[in-house]
Amino acid sequence: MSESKLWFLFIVAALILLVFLGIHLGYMHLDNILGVNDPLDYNNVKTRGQDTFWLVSYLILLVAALYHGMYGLRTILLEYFPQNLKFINGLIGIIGFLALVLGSYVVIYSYIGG
Amino acid sequence: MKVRFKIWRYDPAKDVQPYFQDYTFDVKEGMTVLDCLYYIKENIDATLAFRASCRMGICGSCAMYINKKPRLACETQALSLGTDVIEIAPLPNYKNIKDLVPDLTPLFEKHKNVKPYVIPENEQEFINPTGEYSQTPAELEEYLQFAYCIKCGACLAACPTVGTTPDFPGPQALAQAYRYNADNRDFGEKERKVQVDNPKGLWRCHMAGACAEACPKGVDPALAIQLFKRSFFFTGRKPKARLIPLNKEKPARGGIKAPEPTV
Ligand code: SF4
Ligand code: FES
Repeated sequence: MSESKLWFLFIVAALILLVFLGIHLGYMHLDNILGVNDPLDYNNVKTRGQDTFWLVSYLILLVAALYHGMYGLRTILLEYFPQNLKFINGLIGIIGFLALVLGSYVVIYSYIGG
Repeated sequence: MKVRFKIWRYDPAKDVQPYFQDYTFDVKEGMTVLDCLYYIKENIDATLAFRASCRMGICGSCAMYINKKPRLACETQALSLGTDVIEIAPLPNYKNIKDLVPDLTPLFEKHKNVKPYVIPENEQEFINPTGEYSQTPAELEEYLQFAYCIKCGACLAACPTVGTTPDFPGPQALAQAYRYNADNRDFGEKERKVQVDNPKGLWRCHMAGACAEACPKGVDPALAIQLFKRSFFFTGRKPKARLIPLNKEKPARGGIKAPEPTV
């Protein structure tokens, strides 16, 4: 993929983060204002995990955060090691993929009642 | 006022390492840093090497690192620096040829790579122009500030990305690529985009903004780079310049003469 497209996705991911991270942070930290019943309570966490809205939101948040973060990390690494493009791309791809698998596993596992 | 100049000296033919040499003398009001360098060369040490030409901020030759900032020596009043110690070194991020002279070859090469000239729609028109392209004042405004670049290279000296990635085209070339893309007489946008859309190109800029701070001509290369990035995705319709054929007819005797064509 061309660099311009990678960068464009990075900006799109930032916009998605703005919305979904906003929902996440609002829900977690403005619980008193929004009238949410203790968002960190075990039963509430479990109920949220089994809700389709939260499943989809968490997956979108996961993908957007991972892409945005991994792109940023790649930029930093490229600045330190500009000659190692292939290695850095590979490293970022592998770390990103493993984190995606692990993150989706947690979200999906709690959705199906784990 | 007595000022101590700490000047970077390096002669690759005999020095293993660069070093700073001190020169102290009375600086009079109105003397620029370049005047001071000429004073040293003419009265104290004729071996000092530096580059300058126009002495009026036009040619871009005298950019150097003055008190840790890239500036034009001819546009910097020595006393306005507000200190009695002035340190002068060659521009960073370039190879040092001798004393205060940097090797600006990469600057010019990078500039050349982005095709910094108007590329007309029809190649024949490029070789044998048959007329002039129209341009309104509003269309001129689209790129005018970027056209003030004098290729002094100060922006590359300030750019942290050039410091770590020598192949990065740098603010000067990127601003010039945008300058021509934004010109309504130009049709070379695609060719320039291909030149910079790579892992070491445009997208390595992370908006430190140091180039805009450093530019002595008020060009804002950081802005040009952001506009350039935006143009990859939001291509507003660029108005096309009309080709106005040259008027070969002679004006009637005594009639008002049209201005001479410029091509
Ligand atoms: S953009 Fe400014 S600092 Fe950079 S080369 Fe042009 S005039 Fe010099
Ligand atoms: S000598 Fe020409 S810009 Fe300074």
